[in-house]
Amino acid sequence: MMPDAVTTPILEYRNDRQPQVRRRQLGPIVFVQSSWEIEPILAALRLQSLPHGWDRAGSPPPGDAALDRTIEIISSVAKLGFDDITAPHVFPVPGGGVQLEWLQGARRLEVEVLPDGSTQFVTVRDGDPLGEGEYPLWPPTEAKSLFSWLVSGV
Amino acid sequence: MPASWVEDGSIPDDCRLWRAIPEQSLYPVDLITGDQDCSDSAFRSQEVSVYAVAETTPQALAAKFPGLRFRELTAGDARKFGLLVVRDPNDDGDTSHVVIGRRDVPGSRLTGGQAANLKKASLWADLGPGQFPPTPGPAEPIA
Repeated sequence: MMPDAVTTPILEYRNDRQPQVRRRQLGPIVFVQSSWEIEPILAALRLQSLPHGWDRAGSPPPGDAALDRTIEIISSVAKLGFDDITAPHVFPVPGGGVQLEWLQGARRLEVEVLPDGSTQFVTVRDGDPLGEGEYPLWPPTEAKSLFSWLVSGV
Repeated sequence: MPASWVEDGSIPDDCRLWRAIPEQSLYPVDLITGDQDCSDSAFRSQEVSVYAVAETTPQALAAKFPGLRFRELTAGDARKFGLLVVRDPNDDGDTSHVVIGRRDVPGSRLTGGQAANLKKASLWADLGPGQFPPTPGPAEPIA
């Protein structure tokens, strides 16, 4: 369950890189492993407080399913082992979704989490989309290949 | 939602269309100049709502969407990416409202690639929320 909109989440940073580190959301507590995870997770949680119609077109704020999946993706990316990945931008999407955007030079990897928690990705170079599809939550090697592409252009 | 997802050929390719961009879709690209860019998440929708600016005014749009910025693209840009351009008058009688949607699956959300294409094709139409460049006046005679 996501914390209430008024609850300030507590993020615990563990820099031990142990794969067994617990990362589940326990009420208002979110465990993180990398320091870059903190800001995007907080940004995602803040989206709960968006007013209905934040886009002036009647969109709701992202719900629990989208936010839980967003945090899961951020945490899973941190586990991939890249030292040169920076924090993604976090945006609400019309209709109640969330979009994560990792920028590395001219390359961009966008992951959209739809209101039901399903996920899509698109790879972009110099503003032009190169490929898109369902974001691979499993196995991690498939997600790793997307981020390998992202960082290989730096 | 448009009554039918049918291409409106009466809207010319060079028709300038403005899309209101919520502040939540903006991010800074230059902290010194304050320049901003927007995420293509602002274009990920079932129906991308835009306005034919020649049929309204920037000031009217700014009043309709206070505090928001605007990106401009053309109807031809949308068609080039395989999208439909459909007129869809607002309930308030604003006939400048136009919707961009998918041609391959009418009524479905734009894909990430389609949204990225629209975003790349678009340019800022304003200098900031409610700030528009002065409209050029008649040329001054050279003394």
